[in-house]
Amino acid sequence: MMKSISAAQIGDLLEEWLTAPDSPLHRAVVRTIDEGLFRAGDVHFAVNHLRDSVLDGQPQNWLDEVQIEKSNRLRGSDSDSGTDNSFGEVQKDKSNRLRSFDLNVGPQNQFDEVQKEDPNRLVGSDLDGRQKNWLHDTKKDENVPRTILCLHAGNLPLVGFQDVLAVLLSGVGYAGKLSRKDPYLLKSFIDLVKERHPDARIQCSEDINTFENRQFAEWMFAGSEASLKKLEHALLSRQIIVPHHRALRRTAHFSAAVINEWEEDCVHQLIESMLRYGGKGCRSVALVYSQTSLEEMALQLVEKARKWYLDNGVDVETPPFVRYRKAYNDAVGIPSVLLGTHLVQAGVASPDHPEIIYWQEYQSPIQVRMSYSGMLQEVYGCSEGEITPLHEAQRPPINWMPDGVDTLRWILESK
Amino acid sequence: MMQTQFDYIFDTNLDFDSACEAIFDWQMEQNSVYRRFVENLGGSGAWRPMLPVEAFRDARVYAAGAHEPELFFQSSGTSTSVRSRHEVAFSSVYRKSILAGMKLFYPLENMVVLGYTPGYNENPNSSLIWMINALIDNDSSGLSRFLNVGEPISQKLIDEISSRDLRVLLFGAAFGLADLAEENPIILPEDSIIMETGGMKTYRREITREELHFLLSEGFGIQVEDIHSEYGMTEMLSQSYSSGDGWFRSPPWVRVSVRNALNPLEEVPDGEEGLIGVVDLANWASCPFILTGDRGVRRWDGGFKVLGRWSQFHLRGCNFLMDVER
Repeated sequence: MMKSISAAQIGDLLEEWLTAPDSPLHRAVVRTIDEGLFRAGDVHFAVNHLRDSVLDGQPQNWLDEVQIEKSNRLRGSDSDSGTDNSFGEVQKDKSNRLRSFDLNVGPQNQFDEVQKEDPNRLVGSDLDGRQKNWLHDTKKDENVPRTILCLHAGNLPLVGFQDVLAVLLSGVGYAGKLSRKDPYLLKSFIDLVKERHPDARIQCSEDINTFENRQFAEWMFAGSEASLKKLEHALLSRQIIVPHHRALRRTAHFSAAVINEWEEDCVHQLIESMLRYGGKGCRSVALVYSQTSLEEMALQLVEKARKWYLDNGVDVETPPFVRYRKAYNDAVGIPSVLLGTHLVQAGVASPDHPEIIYWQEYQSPIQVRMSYSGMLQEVYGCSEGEITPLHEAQRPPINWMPDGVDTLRWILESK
Repeated sequence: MMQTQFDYIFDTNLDFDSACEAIFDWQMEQNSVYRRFVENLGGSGAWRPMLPVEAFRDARVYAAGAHEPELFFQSSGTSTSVRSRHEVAFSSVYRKSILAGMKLFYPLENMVVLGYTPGYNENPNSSLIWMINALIDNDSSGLSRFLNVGEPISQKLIDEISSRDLRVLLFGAAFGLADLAEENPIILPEDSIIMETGGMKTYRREITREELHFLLSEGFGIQVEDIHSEYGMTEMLSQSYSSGDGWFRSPPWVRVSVRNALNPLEEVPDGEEGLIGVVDLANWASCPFILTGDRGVRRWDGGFKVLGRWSQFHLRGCNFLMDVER
């Protein structure tokens, strides 16, 4: 009989996986680096950060917090993190961010003119006849243990680990589609769990076809809003998910920093938030808002970036696109500063390449959030007590909320 | 004379590479933005990088010295966005490009041009409407005209066109024509052609391109194969045409390539998707070497397909579809 694993047992597994001398994680790290899947510095950073954020009972704390909040809500009282909210209303989270989200269908999105679908590209959206019939025929089997399908992206080392942990903590079964771009790190933890707990409901594969006909009723995914429809259709057509499904979709893909006063270590933290993982994470800073101009900060940015590359053993090779953009900016008179692998340029734009960061005139965190809404993951600041601290950009706590949703809470909502 | 120095590009026996070289030299001499761009990239000679189309928004892209531009066109956009501005030195060059280009693909002498778009007086800065206006002026039948948007096409006009054994070349935005076909269908003369010029910025529903073409075919009584598309933009003086199959063909003075979005200096092989780059020699007095923001694919004979706008957003953040199996 399949069993779930307790939070304490999960803690033990994490301890072993992250600290034991013969842990499979070591082999996974070596292999990931040797195959050039990620920079060595980024892999070690991700692993070290996990050590700091998931040991010493932190997963248990997360579970306790969510369960307390849930039982408080069920009793009809206010929770510590703000007024109880129903579907779609604005909720204040621990970091004093204002987000609106829909627990059942993912965060609301506002698209500016740049993002509107090209009217020349027309898409069909109806399910075909076969799927419509299936919609009526499929019934939820109450006897099937609950299992959540997690589709993991591979843009960063160990991306998706929080999802794995949240599913395990909830006691629900885990089925994970691993990315070919990050095939070893997560798998080393999952394999360890299976080895120590053979009865646990946990499965992973790099091949999506493994999950054909599994008819999952719940799934998690991170990607663009534009790709979501295509993905959903593909999953439905192969009966990987059922039509009446519950999905946790994350579409936010960049973050911003609002810096009014340049305190000590602020520039270093900003560099880390921009350059770590090549800028490819949703927590990476793509926009900087400041009353200080880019020209005034240029020298400091260049110096700190140079030090960051040295400290992290990164070969500084300017990508072709960055060179191209710099050449263009200089030709048309757009101020920009080359930071080795990345370019910071002045002006208003929607973030595009991970290597390009936009420096804009100061706006308040609320204004920034309203400008980008569902695309924006976090807004950071440097001053204490103000929004999410910039030093947490690439070092989030284990219970941080992607797209404003507590993953563990989302899972337990339906229990 | 500056105005006519490159008129030979409209000759049917054009040596493209030779003309391109001459115009590149002209650009390096006359267009300070493009010159700086090329020098910043460390290039020269046969290596002619594509200038991002945003340059027309971010700077003055002009290569006709002290000659005052005779036209200026602005891209459509919201009131809060900065729009592209294309200063056209010589209206005669634009007119030549329009007429010479169209005549390569369509028998204009047998066609009445109808524009189901706002009129020229209301939109003097629209390059598309200027183009339609030029085609209307070119028609000696006196029947070519702009139509009133929201009103049906006059049956009397259609009857007159038919009686003279002429065909209709109906220009309009995709969804505007769809509305017309649904609300005021009318049978066009045999062998008429509908020329889609791209979508409008707002639309009331989503349908596939196939569904749209079927709707237009039914509404106007023409074959689906006679619903064509035009590819052009404010920043260019030439257009490419697709005869219903989605593959665009260009006049001899235009060469389209598909560029690597991560390295626009690099061309991708035919069949692969990338950013559409256009060399439009008719643009010699602004900039002929343009990297668009459109996603496309090219085939062996130089034909190309436009697949939509290139979205860079998937390059940032988690994206499961970077890894999805086929």
